[in-house]
Amino acid sequence: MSHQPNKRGFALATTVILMMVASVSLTTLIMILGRSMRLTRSHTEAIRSFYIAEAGKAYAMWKLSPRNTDSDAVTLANCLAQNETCPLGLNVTWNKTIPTDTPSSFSVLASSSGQTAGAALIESLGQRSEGVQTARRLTKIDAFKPTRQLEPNDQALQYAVSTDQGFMVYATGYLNISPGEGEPNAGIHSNDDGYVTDLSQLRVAGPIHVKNGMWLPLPPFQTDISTTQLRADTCEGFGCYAAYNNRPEFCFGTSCEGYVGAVPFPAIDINSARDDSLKSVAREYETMYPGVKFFYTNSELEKLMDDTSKSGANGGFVELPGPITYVTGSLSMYRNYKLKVHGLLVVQGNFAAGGSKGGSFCFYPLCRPSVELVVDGFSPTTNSNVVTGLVVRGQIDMMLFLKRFDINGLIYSLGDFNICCLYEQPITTQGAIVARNYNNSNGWFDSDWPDVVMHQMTYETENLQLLVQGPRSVVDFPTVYTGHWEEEY
Amino acid sequence: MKRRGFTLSELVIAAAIASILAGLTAASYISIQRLVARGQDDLLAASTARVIIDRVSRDLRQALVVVDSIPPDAADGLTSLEFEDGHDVDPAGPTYITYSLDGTDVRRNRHYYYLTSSPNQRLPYNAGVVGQGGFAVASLSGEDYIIADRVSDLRFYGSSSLVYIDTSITVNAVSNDQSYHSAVAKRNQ
Repeated sequence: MSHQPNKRGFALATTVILMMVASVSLTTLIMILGRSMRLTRSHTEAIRSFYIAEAGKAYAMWKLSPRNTDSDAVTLANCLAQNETCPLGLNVTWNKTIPTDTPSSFSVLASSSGQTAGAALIESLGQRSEGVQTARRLTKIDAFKPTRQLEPNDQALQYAVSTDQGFMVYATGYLNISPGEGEPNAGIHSNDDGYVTDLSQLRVAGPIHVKNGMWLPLPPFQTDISTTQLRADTCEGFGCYAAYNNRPEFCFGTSCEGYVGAVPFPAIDINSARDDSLKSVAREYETMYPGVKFFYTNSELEKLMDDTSKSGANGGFVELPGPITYVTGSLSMYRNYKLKVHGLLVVQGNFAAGGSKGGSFCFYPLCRPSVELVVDGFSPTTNSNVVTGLVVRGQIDMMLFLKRFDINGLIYSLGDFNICCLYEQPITTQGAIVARNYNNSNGWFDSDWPDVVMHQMTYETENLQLLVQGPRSVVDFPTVYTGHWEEEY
Repeated sequence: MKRRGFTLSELVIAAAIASILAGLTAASYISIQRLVARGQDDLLAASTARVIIDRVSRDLRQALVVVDSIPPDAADGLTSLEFEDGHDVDPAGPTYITYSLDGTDVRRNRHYYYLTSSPNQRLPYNAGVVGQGGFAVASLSGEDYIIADRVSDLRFYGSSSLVYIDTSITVNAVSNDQSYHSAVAKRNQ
């Protein structure tokens, strides 16, 4: 009997195997689709969160806008009432739910690091109801701080020679002139009146000499004045007193008329996208005068000065025809750099003159002051007198090896204006010095360094208005200019 | 030789398993189809909402005058908003933009107001009264079009300076509404 193979049972086995394969495939497919669905869901939720964050950003910008008259707008009064970091900086948070989708909400923080920042940061976080989907929006906007500083470190001093602001030295922080030992001439000299506001601090080792009167707040004023000499020619002594709104005025001389209140820190628009920013004006000139260079990077201009000083061409001077020269980045003048600018020199970063860059250092008389900067008001480009000055978005540092600093116009610094260690030549300006803080720590050397020499402004206000649309008025802290903004993604 | 086929029990079990498998596959397929369709709907709704919010935001951010009085509460929100165009300022006179919900479409209409007696003379929206010999409103040709469809809701509320935008998209009757929210702070006053 032959053996017959048993062929039974393969159908079930085959079906079971197929079913297992199919199940695994199906499960895998379902998992993949599930993930895909979750991704899709996540994507749409992210888009929703993004727009909620966008709403938060818009909300903050409106709350900070000086145009906003809502009771909860961020003004000086409610900023102080909320005990926030003002006026040194801005730090406000809002949390809001979306009215028509209440589980959704945004949290937005507006902050700035203080006086010298010049910009505020708005950080908005949009969140959907699930609590896992969030989106973040960052926005930078220009912020300009006004004069009304109430914290001790921000006591304001305003020093002016005329009520029409024809000349002005103004600082929102201290004006502190502290010469070294043996310096007899440190002080403030003015051809007209001087003004000191309430809550100011004025410390001058030398004389305060004003041609007319020195204006002080009435007692009990909290201004701390210490100086070796106060003198006012016209007023026969230091006796012209004036104060502020709703206060009586009385005068011992003839020059006590007029009113000088808080002078807003004039916020010049340096590099916003507006048509009237200095950067845009430079661009406009570039279009008007093809072939004339109005824009430099800092390294580009520094190399040009380096090359020219070595070649000795044009007396070592780099001459920029103006009427405006715009420099991106921070500009440093050192070694034998010489620069003559016609019109406005605008520096987007910091400006330093006379320093010893790169760690190289030598001592007088081995190294003599040699850096020269001259800014005048006649532009060969336009063949006319133009607005002139030095406008810096960061801080200005005048240092040891500065030989000549002659600015025939405005010196404007959104940060500090620091003078250190000058000698031989004066800093000369024919215009106003406007800075957050003015620090003159000259006197390191017992030498013949002269005072900072200041004269009447020679440019006309109207010309300045035409070029920069005038200083922007700033009303209350913290004033944030929201006309245009830059965004970071 | 005796060749035996499948046993009845084998066939029954195999058929049962195959049926279950087929049922599961069919159910999964239908479910997956629904999920895929839902995902596609969500994405379509999202892109539609983005178009609406982005376009309205861009125009409204730069707007000059907001013609409509914008209610503060969402419940009273407007389904149509008219404002003066601040982007393309025409030297001939002010031009206005209206975003409106028309059925399930969102329309963008750019128009101006003019004197009926002098069609080239453009006027501000509030310079006169229609029907009293003043001016009539006309739409510029080619400037009225649909920017989005399948929109079930569009609302503007807040204030003329900070405008909230809510919109809901319903791609089809089966899908749920997809609602989106944003806000615009006007640059110009």
